[in-house]
Amino acid sequence: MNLTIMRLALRAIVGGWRGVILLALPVLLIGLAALLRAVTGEPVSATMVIVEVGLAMVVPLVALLAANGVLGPEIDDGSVVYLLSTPVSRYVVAASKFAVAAGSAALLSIGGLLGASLAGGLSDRWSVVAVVTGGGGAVLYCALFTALAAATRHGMIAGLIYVLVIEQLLGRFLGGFRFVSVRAVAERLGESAADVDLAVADMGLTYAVIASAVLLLVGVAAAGWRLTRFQLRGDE
Amino acid sequence: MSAPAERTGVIHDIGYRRYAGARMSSAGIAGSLLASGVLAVFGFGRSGKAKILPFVLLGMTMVPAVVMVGIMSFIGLDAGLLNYASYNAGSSFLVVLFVAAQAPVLFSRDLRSGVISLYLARPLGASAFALIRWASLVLAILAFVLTPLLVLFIGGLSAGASFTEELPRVAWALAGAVVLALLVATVAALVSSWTLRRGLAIAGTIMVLLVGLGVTVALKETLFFEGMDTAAHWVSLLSPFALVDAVTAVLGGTDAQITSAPESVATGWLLVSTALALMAVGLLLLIRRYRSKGA
Repeated sequence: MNLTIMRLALRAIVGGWRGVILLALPVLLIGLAALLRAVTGEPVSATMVIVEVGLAMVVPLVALLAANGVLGPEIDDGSVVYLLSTPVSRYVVAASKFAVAAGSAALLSIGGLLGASLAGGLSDRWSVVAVVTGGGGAVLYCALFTALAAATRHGMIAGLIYVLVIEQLLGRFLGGFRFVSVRAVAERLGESAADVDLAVADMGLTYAVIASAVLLLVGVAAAGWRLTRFQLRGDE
Repeated sequence: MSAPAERTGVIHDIGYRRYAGARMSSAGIAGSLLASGVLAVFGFGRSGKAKILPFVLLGMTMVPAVVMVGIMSFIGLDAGLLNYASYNAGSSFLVVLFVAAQAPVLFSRDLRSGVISLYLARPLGASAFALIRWASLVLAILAFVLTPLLVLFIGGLSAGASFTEELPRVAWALAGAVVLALLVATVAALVSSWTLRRGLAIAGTIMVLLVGLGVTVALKETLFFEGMDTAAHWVSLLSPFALVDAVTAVLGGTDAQITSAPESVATGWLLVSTALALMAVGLLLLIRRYRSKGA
């Protein structure tokens, strides 16, 4: 890990419009939970707020923005060569950037989900889900999206296609896709930690744990490997 | 001091000429800008790679239509299977993905690189430029949304559905698609002209359109559950997809896909006009953005 790279990466994430959008997502979630509770006067439906909006949209989007923020713009405008010409191992570059992205995404996801479950008056078990599934999901998504951002200039679109098409569209019709779904793995982990019913299709806990570990390692390693083979290209 | 040496240089006429051909009128410029904008959204005039995404997404929205027509003609089910209005709601996230990915092509690149000042140095002004860009995004979205509907309609007809029965149903769905394209294009244009970076514009559009849809659905369901129906109908304004779904359901009698639709026709018209008024405000903001960036 390289502290300077991490500091620069953090600045790339929080600066400008990206920081605004990143912060807007969890705030929106908390606001929704608070509004729904104010309207009904009862605890909100956890499936509706925490799962359908929080875990399905806010967590992947926050992770996508964070992961692409640390790598995407630099690769886009070519200034990444100045970073790559320093005598720092490319794997360290990738790992440092990933750590910053995963840290901020996890912080924002946990904050948003925890705030929403408190504002929505949900039981403590949902707070555990917020920490385990929200935080774990954000970190796992970041590993995947950092690799995608390093692999292609269209990391944002690639990540969105993964979330929307593979996880949500195909996952809904073809149960087998749960095994390659970050969300399903994260929900399985949260389910067993918090003892709630998240309607995840059957998947062994062992598989979920192993898959997360593999994804973390492979994602960061792939991003680093890709940076070692980085080539400058023109636009499109 | 000697006299200046005799000048020996000559100006060679190497045949440069002024452009003496016919010049296009403003309308001509507008037309070609519009056409090139629509084509650029689908990747024409750009690299081969740029064509992959729009056409893959277009292919994906066609799959349900092709499957439905196939089922109709081979198994011989009745025309009730052709549910045009549900198509708008059902393919919403593909539309969002398409718009989010392609709007920056029209709205982020020239503003960010500063090429905009070259465009605006031409007879076309900032307002016209902004509106034409917006119109080309609208047309591109229309092409994206209407193609599967037309495949469904024409395929259904050739599989034996009745033209007179299907026409009003498909007409309402098409009208809904037009409103949808107008609203979605305005949102995407605003977001991408403000954020300027492609990745960021994509994320912003997705956030407004898709997370907005999720939030709208959650709010509407809760409000309906609490019996606050009027508030629930107005919440539809937060998401173009929810709005079009509710409005075509009440005005055209289609089945509401997202949540239940308002019952009074007046509310339906009021909702549409409010949405279009909001769209006009959005267009004013877009023009202001181009004025300030291009000046």
